[in-house]
Amino acid sequence: MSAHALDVLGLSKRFTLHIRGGLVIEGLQSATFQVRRGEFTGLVGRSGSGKSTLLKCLFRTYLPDGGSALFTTSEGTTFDLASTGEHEMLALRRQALGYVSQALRVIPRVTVERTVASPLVARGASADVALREARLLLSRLNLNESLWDSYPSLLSGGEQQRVNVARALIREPELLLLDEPTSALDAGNQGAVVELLSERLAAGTTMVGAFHDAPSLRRLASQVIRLDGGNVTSVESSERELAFAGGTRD
Amino acid sequence: MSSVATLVAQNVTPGRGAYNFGFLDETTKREVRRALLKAVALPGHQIPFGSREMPVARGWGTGGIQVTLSILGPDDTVKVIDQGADEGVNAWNIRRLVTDTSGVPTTTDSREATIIQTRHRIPETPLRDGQVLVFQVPMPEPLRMVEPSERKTRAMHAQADYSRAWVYLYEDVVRRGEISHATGYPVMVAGRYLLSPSPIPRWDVPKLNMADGLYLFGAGREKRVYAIPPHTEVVPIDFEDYPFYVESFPDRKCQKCGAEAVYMNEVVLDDGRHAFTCSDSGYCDSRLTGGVE
Amino acid sequence: MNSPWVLRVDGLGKRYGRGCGLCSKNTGPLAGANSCANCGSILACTNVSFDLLPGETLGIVGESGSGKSTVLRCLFLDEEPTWGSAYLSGFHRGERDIFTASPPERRELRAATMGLAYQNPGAGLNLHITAGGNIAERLLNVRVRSVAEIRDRAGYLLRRTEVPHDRMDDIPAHFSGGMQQRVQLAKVMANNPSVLLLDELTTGLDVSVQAGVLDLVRELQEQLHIAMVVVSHDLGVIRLLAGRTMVMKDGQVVESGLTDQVLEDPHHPYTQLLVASMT
Repeated sequence: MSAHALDVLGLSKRFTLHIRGGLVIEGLQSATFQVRRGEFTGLVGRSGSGKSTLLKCLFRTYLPDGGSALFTTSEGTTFDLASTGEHEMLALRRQALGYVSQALRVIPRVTVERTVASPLVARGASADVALREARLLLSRLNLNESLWDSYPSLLSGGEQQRVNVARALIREPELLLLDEPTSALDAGNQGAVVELLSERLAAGTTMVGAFHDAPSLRRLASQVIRLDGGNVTSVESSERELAFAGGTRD
Repeated sequence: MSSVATLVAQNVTPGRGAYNFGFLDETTKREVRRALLKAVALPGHQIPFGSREMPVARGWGTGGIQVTLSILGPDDTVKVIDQGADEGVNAWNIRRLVTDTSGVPTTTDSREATIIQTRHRIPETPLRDGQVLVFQVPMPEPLRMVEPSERKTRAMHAQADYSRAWVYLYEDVVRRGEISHATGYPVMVAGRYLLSPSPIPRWDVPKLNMADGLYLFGAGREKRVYAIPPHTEVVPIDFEDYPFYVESFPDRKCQKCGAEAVYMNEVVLDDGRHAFTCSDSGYCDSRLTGGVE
Repeated sequence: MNSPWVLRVDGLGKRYGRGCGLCSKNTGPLAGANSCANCGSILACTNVSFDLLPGETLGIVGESGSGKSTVLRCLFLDEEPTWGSAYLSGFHRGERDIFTASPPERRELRAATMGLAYQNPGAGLNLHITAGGNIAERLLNVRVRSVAEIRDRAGYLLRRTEVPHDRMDDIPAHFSGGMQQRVQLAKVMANNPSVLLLDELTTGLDVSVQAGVLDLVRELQEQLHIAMVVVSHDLGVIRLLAGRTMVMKDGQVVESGLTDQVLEDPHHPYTQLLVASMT
């Protein structure tokens, strides 16, 4: 089995805006890197440098124009996230991929705990089991219990972000894509998210993500990719500050 | 006076002269008989025919009359009843038309008749092999109450798609707590076609099943004939938990002949009391004269 | 062999009119029309193909006249397609084109295998027989012959669709539009169809009523894992319900993909315009 969970080669994305006279925007140009199983690859770069574009290409919210992104599951099956069929991609999203966006896209009139539980239910878990898991995660993320049965649209940005993280983590994805998941959180709650993520890293989850703050990245990343204007300018390995969850620096 | 009787009396010997035997011309009779043969071959299926103008207004039994006159032969004996009674005005006029244009004998005793034309009843004495009961049918289409389009009802019959007829019964149960459909109760014929048995009471519906005689139905205004051949399975549509049932007349006796298990008419006597008599007047008469137990 | 899909549509097309050699040139998104300038024929939809997996929801989005409703009406056998074929896993194990079905088979397919909820509840309901009677018609179609059984099932379905139990014996003509739509959903669900076709289900309803109907559809997705094709001109509805989306214009599919991809990374000029116009 490949030691690389993700093998990205020449991944490119170009937008053609027909309603603006065919304006072409280069979102990502020939990105190439590998991510080892169970490790965190951090994305660094200014706003507009292509971090979100890269993450969305990996999740296929953007359809890449060129290159490949080979994802190998823990069972040894390899899919090209850039070109695999829509049905396979939907199945991968259900089973193996997680994506945390900056903003929670709420489903109207579904409570916080059910929003978090629904990916498990969709995968066939009973409602009771899924709700129990959801509540566990929500309390780990310090979300006030009084909010669990209210609607996410009524929550603050920071609270919504934690709901979003919980919703992505509940299905225990093999590959987790994170797009500034803590941008609206205070230091304490950021810590809770990072703590949870490093536990999952230790358990073998592979992650690619951008964080708005350098300390979080330093605590998690064993590799850092720098992006500028849609180009990967460097891929460097990084010394993790935390080897495992809750542990001290060794 | 220009009644058929006077016209006929002026220059008609039965079977000759101005009127053909049985009023209708032979070509018309042949067409009706062909339609009837089809109807017998496809039990319960409505067969179109070119209904003629008759010396009776449409809606007064012209379909039944055309069927009767088309199958009539010189050796037949005819009985005509209206709601069970031989003495109804409609029955009288039809009987007169038949005898005046054919000269065949008539009777009120259903056992003596070879052809019985009826409006809305089946005689109490079961038909025997060789007897024909001709129904006057106002509304041949059992699905008309749920579907106004003829094209669609034909497609429904072709596909035996009768769920909407059952919906009609379901709605009846919901609204009234029972299937209240009183006359013309829809029946399945030979497991294939839904049929309207003309407005006979429920009491008569079981007599259609596995009968020894032939049932012919004629609808003059709607230009349709259909048939239930002898020994054909006829089943009223119903629900497992709301089964078909017939009217019951507990503790009721015919005022005239004392019969009990028959379909009764209710009559109000001069002193305001209610009493019951046999609806089938021929049956009642023959009990009184001692012919029937 | 079991097919992985519940519904497969292959090259479906519908033309009204005689057609001519110039039809394909004169119609479609490039021509900006669905009617042929030469012969006047209307190509309501052409060359529509997709697979629908168990539990999956496919969205079809487009403006009126784009052909999306024609696709549904052809699939539900309301219309005879001019081209193409369609297969249901529940019909001859997916080996026979449903457009070759005999009239009784068609009736069975419409009554038990598929359900189509029309934009106008009056098209799917008989507004003058009771809500329960409307559901009864479906059940009677598959030979249920017990009033108690019918009322049990109708009661269950109306509960699921949140129609108050005491309205079961009222006629839908007296119901609000939203409740009529819920009764229609209860009716199409009566025989547990394997594919549900929803045509502009919320169009014309008040926003607050739309929400209730959409929540109901989401529940059906989550709890019954029923496969659906959802047709709407409303991208919000599509985003909420569909995992994959096809965009139609002038009778043709101009773009298809994962719903979030179509919405966030639209390729076709028309889709870009559509997304940009979203409120």
